[in-house]
Amino acid sequence: MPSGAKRPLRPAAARGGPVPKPRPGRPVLKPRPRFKGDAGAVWFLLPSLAGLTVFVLGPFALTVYRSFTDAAGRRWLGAANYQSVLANAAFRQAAGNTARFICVCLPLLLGGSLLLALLVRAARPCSRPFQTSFLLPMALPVASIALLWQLLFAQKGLANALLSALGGRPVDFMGSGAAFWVLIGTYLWKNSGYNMVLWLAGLDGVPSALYEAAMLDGAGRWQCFWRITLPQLGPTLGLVSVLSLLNCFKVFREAYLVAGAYPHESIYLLQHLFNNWFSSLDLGRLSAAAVLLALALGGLILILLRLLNRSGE
Amino acid sequence: MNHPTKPWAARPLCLLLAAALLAALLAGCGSKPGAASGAGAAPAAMGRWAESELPLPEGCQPAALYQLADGTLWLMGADEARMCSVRYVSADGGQSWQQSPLPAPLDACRVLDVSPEGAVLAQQYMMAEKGAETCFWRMAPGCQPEPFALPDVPGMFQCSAHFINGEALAISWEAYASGAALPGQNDGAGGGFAQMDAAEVGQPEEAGAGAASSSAPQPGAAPAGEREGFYTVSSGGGVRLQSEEDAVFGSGIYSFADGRRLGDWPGMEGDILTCASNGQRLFYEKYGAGILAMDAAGGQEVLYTGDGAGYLEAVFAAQDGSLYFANDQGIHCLAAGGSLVETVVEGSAMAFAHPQMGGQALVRAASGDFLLLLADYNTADYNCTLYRYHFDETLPARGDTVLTLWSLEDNETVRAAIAAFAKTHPEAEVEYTVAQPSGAEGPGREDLLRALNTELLAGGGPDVLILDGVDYAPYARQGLLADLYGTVSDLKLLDNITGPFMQGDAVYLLPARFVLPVLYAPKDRLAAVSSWEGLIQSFLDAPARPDAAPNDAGFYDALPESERYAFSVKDTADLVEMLLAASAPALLSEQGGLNDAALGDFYTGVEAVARHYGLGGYRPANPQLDVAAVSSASGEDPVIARQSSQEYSWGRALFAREWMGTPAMLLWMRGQDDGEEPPMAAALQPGLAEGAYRPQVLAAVNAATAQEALAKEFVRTLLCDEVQGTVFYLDGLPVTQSGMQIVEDRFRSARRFTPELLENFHALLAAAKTPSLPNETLRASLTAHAEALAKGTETVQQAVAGTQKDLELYFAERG
Repeated sequence: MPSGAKRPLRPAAARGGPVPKPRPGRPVLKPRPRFKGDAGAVWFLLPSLAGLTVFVLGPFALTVYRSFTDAAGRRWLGAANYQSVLANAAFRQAAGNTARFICVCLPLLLGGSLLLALLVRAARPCSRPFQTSFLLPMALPVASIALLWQLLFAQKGLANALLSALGGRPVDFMGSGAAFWVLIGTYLWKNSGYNMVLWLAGLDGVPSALYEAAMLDGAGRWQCFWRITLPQLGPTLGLVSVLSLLNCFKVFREAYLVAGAYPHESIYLLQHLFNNWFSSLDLGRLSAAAVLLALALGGLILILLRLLNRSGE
Repeated sequence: MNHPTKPWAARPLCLLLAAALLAALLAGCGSKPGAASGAGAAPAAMGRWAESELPLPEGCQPAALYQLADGTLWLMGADEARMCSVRYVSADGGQSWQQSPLPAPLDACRVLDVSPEGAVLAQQYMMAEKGAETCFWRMAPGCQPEPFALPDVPGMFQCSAHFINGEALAISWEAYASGAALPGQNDGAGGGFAQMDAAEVGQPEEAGAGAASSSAPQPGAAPAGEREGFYTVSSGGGVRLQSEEDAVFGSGIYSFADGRRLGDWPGMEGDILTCASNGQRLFYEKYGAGILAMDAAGGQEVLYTGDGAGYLEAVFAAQDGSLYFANDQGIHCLAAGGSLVETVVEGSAMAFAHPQMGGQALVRAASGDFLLLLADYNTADYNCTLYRYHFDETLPARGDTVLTLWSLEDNETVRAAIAAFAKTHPEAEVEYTVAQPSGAEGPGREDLLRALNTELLAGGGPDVLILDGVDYAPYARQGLLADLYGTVSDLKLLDNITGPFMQGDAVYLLPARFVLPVLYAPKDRLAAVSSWEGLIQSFLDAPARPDAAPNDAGFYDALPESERYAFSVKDTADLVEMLLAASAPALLSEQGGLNDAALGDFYTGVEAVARHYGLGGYRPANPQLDVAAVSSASGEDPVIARQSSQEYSWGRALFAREWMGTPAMLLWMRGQDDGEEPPMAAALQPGLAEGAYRPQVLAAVNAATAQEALAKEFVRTLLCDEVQGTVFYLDGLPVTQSGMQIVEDRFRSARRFTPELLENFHALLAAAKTPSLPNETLRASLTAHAEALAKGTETVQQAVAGTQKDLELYFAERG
């Protein structure tokens, strides 16, 4: 046999040795993947890792460094930028709005898109047109969405025209707290279709044998959903949650295009602040705020994954 | 297992492939644009256009430069006293010149055009008892001069002629003729002319045999001199008295041999700009139509209609049909049969890049060198200089050092400084980046600033920054600008203008120019508007301005004194702009927030005026209908008169208001009054800030530049007399004392100058002390709430609260 070729592993019992018994109270360790045999894969991963290092990890390390210096990166300021950021009223406002946005959007989006997925699945095989149409908002350019906003929600826009026609009073959608709900609606409208597709993939992955067995045992639809579907969707929930969380930060584009750098305070998000700090060359505080955001997001995702893993076990 | 490759061979292959991918990635990341990819250092590219000045004949006032087919150069000098051209010839590419008078009587003529073969068409002016007569002469190559006339156009008084080839000319003419329509005539005389008694106007002078002659009005010559607008015309011995209305104009293609009409000059209507012939076709630029070419049969071809090359100044048509032309951006080529303009000589550091230099003639020698005759419009006599552009292969393609400049929009002062800098620093190459060229499509302002900020924050970026139109404060605050104190501390600057930019012993940004917001009116009327309250009251005391746009009937008609309104205001945004010009600094508190009291005063004033004028009901102003005009009187600096001052000059507004960028503005304003009493004066526009002025050409040096010394040298060049003493009416007044002295000296030499005007100018300068550059975010909020006030949908308190709310986050971010 030429050197380097894999030898087939024989079970211990087949080799005549004693078969180890699992000790009580201690989980059985799964065999770890052998690194040696995957050396080629590592080399293939290296370019990607290099790209990640050069374009993501390196800049992030630089951001961390610049968060401790002045804008020009020449003077070491210690934690002054962090203190300034945490004391900054605009940062607190933006962080609060962003957190509020996430807290409202994420559950609504996860629940709404799951409901859509269930409805679409129930409507099969006639649901194909729905699946496609729900995805359309994802394909629309941001500029078109911004234009749509302006048409709909301007002082003399279509929404107010409709309100007036129904006998209601016009609402200053973009100049009042209503702007927040407009933004929420846009986010849900745009991302529901995509999440629905992810949910559908997850739902399709649930073995039908489980439902058949449960039905035989007398389980109803609700019990099937609660006891089988939801637990089986755990991995999908993790993926959809992380993607939805990250997509929350992309809604800034619409808000910026419609309302500019200083929108109504209810939709003033962290990206507005970052954008404006960059325009005013306040790189020190911008870096500090970015590091804080990265830490918060990283922590949130870790917690989310830990919770999902625990619920999976 | 069915494996395509032997397992033992797979790993080395994987390794090889992965290494190649990694190497490609890293090489891609590390390479710089244009950098050689070889292991060793690549040889530097060689070859660069070099500019050198060629001698001109002593005492010559060049008017035109021609290159004949044999390569000989003819330089036509102008003898203004004798109203004729003086010919100088060079057989060595302009290195030396010999005076070579044209044969008589051409030596007493003004040369109109010369063909590449050496054919000449000239016009002769003869002073006669009753006026100046003109006649035309032609001289074919190797022949003697002979009279030239257009048989179809009797009484041709003057013309503009261009050779198409050696046998045909394109001529646009002006004549005084009988009522019969003339071939090619495009402006009817309507009724012919009056036949006058010879005794009344005197006998005509004997013109050249057979030549048609006409005479121009001659001051003091009776009766033409007494009857304004009348010309005496003699043609073939008959003497007639003509009025200007009798003039006819026309154009066509005519035979050089006998003046016979050969055909029409198609599409001649409109402004024909520069022309040149290559002996086969005539190339010319027509305003609004681009570059055209025409043959002797009248066949016309549009060669280029794009605006990428800018306007043409001097043109040369090569034998192969290529067209070369020069403007302040370079010398360009439009190849025969091509439609794209190629820049041959890039011009940012060449003499022709100077905004006050204009190309008079361009020639491309057989060697490939260009000769460009440039006139300096900043001199009274438009002094000319002849430059040679030679591609020197021994010079490196790039200078030893490259200085990079950046500005958001094009700037004439900077271009003048580049030209001056090139003279004192020939080793340095200047790269001027105009981020947002006028009229060009491209990224928006925010994107451009973002790109600049990214470069600066990364430790790169241009060496010198011109921060006009940019919120400059953060650049200095964040330590991205170098201290210029040592660079400018020994210069004698106008302290009241530059002082506000000094931060103790540091200065990070310095205006190289400034403009003043001025009001102009009778002194007593002006005295009443010396304060913010007075200004607002003056609006209210006069009648309201009706909503009127330049395309409305009666817009240009004067109003009776009792119906004249105080100021021209086009709409609410225009009102905010006017009031903000002298109030912006007062609206911000020193603590970095809003000054609520000043904001309240501002909105109170806006509301009062807007209600009085009824601005809420105004139609939206159409920016396309702007009646701003450049005005230039002989010997005076040009000025821009915007609608706000034009409405005063038309007799509609009681006050003129204008941004003053040259003291010649006072001459223009005085010119509108025609010496009217009571005495008039100009004053700084009052506002909530005292002595507001607008700094311009804000120059700074990148703190991270590797060429700090050179960059600072450039800033000094911006402040040198050559640049500061030149008038760029858009950029404004100089900031150095010596530059201002030059400007004042020119002001003094103006025909309409009076010491009182200079005194007024000094008073305006002395009053300026607060730089006013409105913040964009503040301006947007003020305009929005002012419009709400004008429409009555907000009260002053609501507007103040609204602006506070609008800017709350803006100030919070900076907290």
